[in-house]
Parts: sequence; structure tokens; C-alpha cells
Amino acid sequence: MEQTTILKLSGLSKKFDSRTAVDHISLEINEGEIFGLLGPNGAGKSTTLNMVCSLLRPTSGSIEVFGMDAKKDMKQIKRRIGYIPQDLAIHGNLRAWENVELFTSLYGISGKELRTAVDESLKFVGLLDRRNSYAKTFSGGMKRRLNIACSIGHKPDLMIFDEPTVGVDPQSRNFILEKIKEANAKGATVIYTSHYMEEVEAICTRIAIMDNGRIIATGTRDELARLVTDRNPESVTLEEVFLTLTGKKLRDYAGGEG
Amino acid sequence: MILIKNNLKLMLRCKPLILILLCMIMVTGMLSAVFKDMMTDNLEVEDFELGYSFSKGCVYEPVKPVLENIGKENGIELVALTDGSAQNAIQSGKVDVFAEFSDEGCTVYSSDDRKIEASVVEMIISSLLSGASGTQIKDYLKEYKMEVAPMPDSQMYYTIAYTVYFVWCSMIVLGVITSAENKNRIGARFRTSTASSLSVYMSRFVPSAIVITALMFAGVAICTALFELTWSQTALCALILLLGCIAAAALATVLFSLIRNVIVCVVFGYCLLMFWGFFGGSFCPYMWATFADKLRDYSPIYYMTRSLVELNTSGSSEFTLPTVLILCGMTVVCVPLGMAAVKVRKEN
Repeated sequence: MEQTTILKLSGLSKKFDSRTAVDHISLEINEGEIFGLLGPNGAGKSTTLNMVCSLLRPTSGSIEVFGMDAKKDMKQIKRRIGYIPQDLAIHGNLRAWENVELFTSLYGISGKELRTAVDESLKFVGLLDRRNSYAKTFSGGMKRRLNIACSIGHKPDLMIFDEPTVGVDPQSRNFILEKIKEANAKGATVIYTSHYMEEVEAICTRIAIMDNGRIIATGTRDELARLVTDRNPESVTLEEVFLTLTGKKLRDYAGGEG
Repeated sequence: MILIKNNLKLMLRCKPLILILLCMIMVTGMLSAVFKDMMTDNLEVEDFELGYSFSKGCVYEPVKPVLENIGKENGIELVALTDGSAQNAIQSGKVDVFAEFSDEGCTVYSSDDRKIEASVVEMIISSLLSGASGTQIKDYLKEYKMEVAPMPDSQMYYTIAYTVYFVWCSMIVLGVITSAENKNRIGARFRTSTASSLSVYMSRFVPSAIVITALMFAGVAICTALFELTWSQTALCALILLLGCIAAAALATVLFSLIRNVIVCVVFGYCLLMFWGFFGGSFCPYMWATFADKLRDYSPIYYMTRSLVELNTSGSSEFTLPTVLILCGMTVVCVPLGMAAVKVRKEN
């Protein structure tokens, strides 16, 4: 069966002054995938995702989302993307439902549809019974879940998770991963970045590894494993594959070139 | 609407904002009490008795009926004294001030505790005698009519001055939203959403205007109750204050949308208010007597304060229309500027 391309990056680059953060990358992500984007710090993952979400303007190259040109049809594209930022982007002085209501309304949803969306989003992340609590009273894991709820109220077809499990306990992490799989099962395509290899291994159907602004490998877990070993792919972990492809040199070490 | 509602909630849940209200009431209370005596000395002259005498055949005798007329209108009782010295008349308590007319002019006598009354008499007589000589004096005096502008008491004056001042200080309320957005990195959510620049702009402008207006009217209500103030031309005063609140919110939205750094905004806003306040003549203008009066023309604070004071004392003010036009003009200019600033921020 022919797969529909949801996201297509062609020769995408981003320069910050003289530094090239993303260097002519091309990538296609298909409908229904959970696509993992891996890379060491400073590899260009977040910059790439920020360009897809229109948080940054590309220096060159093109982005097609749902078959639409990101330069021309950004508004239609934005309606169908749910971006879950790495940093918590919620108001501590608003209640849980008020946060979800606020950020869902930014997509033009109102009235009964909005109220339903708020309850569904809170239920999805397991916070419905805490809907009236202020976000500032939440634990780290609950804040992460609320952060997700605030990004999915408008029922996006493409969900972009930028390290959504940073700083949460294993239970919350497991919950979030299960919910990502659940959203995917309901039809959403997911792009997922994380430094936790076991998470990526557990949920991603396909993975791209970035380093120094370039995509150095793309494929399923097993396909990537075969790039670095002749043995049974299941005998090597994704972390071994990652370290073999990107090296063990520190990337954000202040004293070196990184 | 949802954006406006939630930003309003964020502002109302920020307890330190109540400090603006408390500061306004405290400053007004303190200053009106401290300067009460000074303003009373300067501005309120109680009825007093003015003794006078004319030398034989004095050229200024035609002044007499006019002087009596002015005295009647201003609570000054004139007592003609033909015998005895000025010193005796004052020391015996017959009169409070004594004016001695001769062909050379007029000498005004008073005791130390009646210097203010003596100044009033000097001012009146100086006005009467200036430019008048010989036969022209009769014609000149017929046309002369003295107008004394009523002055506000210190409590009314400082309530008005500091209400106006704190209306502009209240621009800081938008810092609550800006600070929360910066701290919680909300900007990314706006930029990845389909929210229009207009809706983002309105979500900052409308709650700011509501909160500034609420703080201002609460402050005025409390000061009015505390100091037992009586407002004249209430509707017109309320309109000017309301327009001031809207203009302050519009300006705040431009500042905070352009700069985004709350501290820089506060410092900039403070400098602007100091300029408007000190040079605009709304308070302590005597400290800057050497500066050109033209500077106050650039101060909306000056226009607001002056029109409100005059409306409350005279019942009308030539400054009312310019004040309304200036405040509306500021709002009209600031709205597109603020929207442009929001758009630029959203796109970059």
C-alpha cells in the first residue's frame, strides 16, 4: 500500500550568523509513523523541528507539510500541527483547565467544541480530576502532562514532541509514552526527539540520527543496527548504534570544540 | 475572548498589583496632609478689614468706589480712616491691613501675621493703578473687573494629581502578562498557533485597560470617601480618567510588545512619567521653574490634571477638549503601533 508523505524536507538549512545549525537535510515522514529524531546536543534536532513549526525561518530549502508549502500555507499547516515544546509552556497562575482552554483557543476553537476539547485533552493526560488545580501546584510529571494537553486540544494530525520526558519519574515517563502510542493508534503521526534511547526504541517505527546539522542515518531500528554491525541487529542496542555513528566525543563540552 | 479572559485572570491573581492602589491612596493622603497648610496659606484668604486713606486731592481718589466694589465681591471690608497712623490702626485691631494713597502711589501696611492679606491688597491695588494716570483713570477703572479663580483644596488637588499619575504608572500591569509569558516561554505557543496579531494584541490591551480602569476608579472612590471630596462635572471627569486609562493601556501594549523585557519597560516607563510629571507641571512644577513652559505641552499628565482641577473648581475648563483629543489621539496612534509590534514579534 502506498504511504502518504506527511512531512517532506528538501535541502533544508539554517544558519545563525556563521554557524550552520542545520545543513541541507532532506527527509520524508509518512502518515501514521512515530518517527524518532536522535542526535547529540547541538546536532540540529530542535532547530529542524522549530523550522517545521514556523518558530524559525529556514535559511534555504523547503518544507512541505500535508502536501502544502510551509511558506505559502502556514496557517492551514499550523492548524494540523501540535507542537509540544521541550520547555514547559504553561501558566502556573492558571488552573489546569484554563491553561488548556487558553492554548486550544489559539487555534480558533470556541464554545462547546472548546469545552469538550479541554475535557478530552485533560482526560487523555490523566488530569481530568485535577482540572481545577493551579498548574503551579503540580508535580514535574503532571506539569509535563499538562504541557502535552495544552498542545493537543485542537486534535492535530501531526504531533511533534521535543524531549517530552525530561525530568520526570519513570511512571510519568511510561504514561507519556503510552499516550503517544495511543494518539498514534488513533491516527496521529508523531515526531519524537529524546536523549533516552530506550524510549525511542520502545515507540518509534523509524529513526533518523542527526549530527553536526546533517542526517547521517535513517531507517528502522534494525536497519540502523545493520549499519554498525554484521551480527544479529537485536544483539546491539540503539545506544551502541548511536555512539558508533556519532562518536563518543563530548558535543557541548565548554573546553573543547565539541 | 478566551485569551482576554485568561490574561485578565492572570492580572487579577497577581496580588502585588494591589500595591498600586495602596500607594496611590497613601501618597495622596500624605501629600495632601503635608501640603495642606501651605496650600491654605497660599490659596485661601479669609475675610479681612482693609483700612484706607487718601491724601488731600489725591489723583487716585477715583479708585475708591472700585476698590469698595472689589472688596464686597471678595470678602474685604473697607474702612475709611482719616485720623491716626497706619500703625495705630493695625495695632488697635481696627483693621487688618492699611492702604495709604498719595499722589506718589500707595503704601500698604500690615502686621507679620497678615502678610498674605497684604499681598492680596498689593496685588489688587497694583492692578488698579498700573497704566492709569490723570484723566484716563476714570475710564480705565470703570472697565476694571477683578476675577479671582477658585482654587482646590489640597486633598482634591492631590487626589486628582496622583490619580492621573497612577493611571500612567499602572501601565506596569501589563508586565504581569509579559513576565508570565517570558518566564513560562509562552511565546512559542503563540507563534506555532493560528492566533492573529489582532487577537494577541487585544488579549494584552483589553485586560490592561480593564485593570487600570478598575484600579483607578477604586482609588478615586476610596480617596473620595476618605477625604470627603465632592466632585464637580463628575461625568466629564470620569470620561477624562477613563480615556486616560485606555491611552495608558494602549501605550503599555506598545512598550511591552516592542521591548518584551519587563525591567527595561519599567525603567523606560518610569523615565517617561518623570518627564511628563516633573516638566508637565502636574506636581512640583516649582522645582523646575527655569525650564521652558513648552515642555509641559508634551505631557498628557499636564492636560489631564489641569482639566480635572479646573472642572472641579470652575466647573469648566478650556483644557477639556484638548485633553480628550490628546488621549484619543494617543490611543489611535498606539493601537496600530502595538499591533505591528505584536506581528513583528510573532514572526521573529
